[in-house]
Amino acid sequence: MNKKTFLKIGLALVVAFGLFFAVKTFFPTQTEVGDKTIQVTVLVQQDDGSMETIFDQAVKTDGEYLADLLTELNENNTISVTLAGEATDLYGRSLIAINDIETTNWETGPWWLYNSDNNPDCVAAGYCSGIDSCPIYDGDNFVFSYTSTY
Amino acid sequence: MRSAIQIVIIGMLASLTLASQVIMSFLPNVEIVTLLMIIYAISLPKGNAFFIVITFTVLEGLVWGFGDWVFGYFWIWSLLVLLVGLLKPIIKDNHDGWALIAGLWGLAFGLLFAVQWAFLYGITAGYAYWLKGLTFDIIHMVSNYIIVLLLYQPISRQFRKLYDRLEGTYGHRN
Repeated sequence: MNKKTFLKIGLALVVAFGLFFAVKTFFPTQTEVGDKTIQVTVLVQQDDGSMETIFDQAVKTDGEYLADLLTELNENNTISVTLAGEATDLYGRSLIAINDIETTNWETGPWWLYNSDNNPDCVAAGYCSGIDSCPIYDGDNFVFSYTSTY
Repeated sequence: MRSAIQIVIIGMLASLTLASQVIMSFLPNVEIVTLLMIIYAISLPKGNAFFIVITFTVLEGLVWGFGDWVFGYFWIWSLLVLLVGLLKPIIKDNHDGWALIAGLWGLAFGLLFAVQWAFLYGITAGYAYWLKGLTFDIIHMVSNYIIVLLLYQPISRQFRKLYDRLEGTYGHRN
């Protein structure tokens, strides 16, 4: 690789970092600070395809992201939650187990999926972001499903 | 009608493109599909690159599961092939030019999907989709630029050499 190519790559990286900070500055993620009540429902798919509810409660949290809520639920022993990876990873952490029901085959599932019918960000985009980048708001409903169909 | 050898080439190149995508899928938004599509659109007889897009997209659906994104792949990758066809007389074989196009393409990729999202689920959904993926589009942009800058010349040169040899063996297939 010659000097010119290095320079071009360096310039491209500078432009990319510039754009990245511009996006973070002009489009910051809006979060809601303070206490909130979130309805958490946990469903597990049975062998016959039906969904069994193993948890369905309104929980209180002051977390700002879904990951904060899950960590709190795990710490106060409401439900046990296992996450993989680091919050700083590009996609954040992954939800791999709730109450020791764990994804063992990542190719075929079942996996832990989640959705919300009233979280503004999930509704607007049509899907919820990763748990570390999904802001939560007072009154949100979140349904976690252990399923191999989506 | 396309000759048997053309159909084989389309199938093989679509499979190669799929394999490259699957192998690199652990790297978010880093791919060589853009590079390969640019080379196919430049080097192959007219229309063949579109057939590669269609075959590649169907194979992607078989690997990852069919969803609305598959429809997006059909028209978005076809758009790239069309764009390359239009820019070919201007950019010619300039790797700097193709690297720039690949970079801009990477940046626009999420926006193009957002357009489809807006058609399917409304403008707010499209806007939210684009906004959520913007940082990934930036990764797509810079990785596309670097990949094409470094690999366009060696891969396209080798590709054309192999293709010319094939034409020498089986005859011209325009």
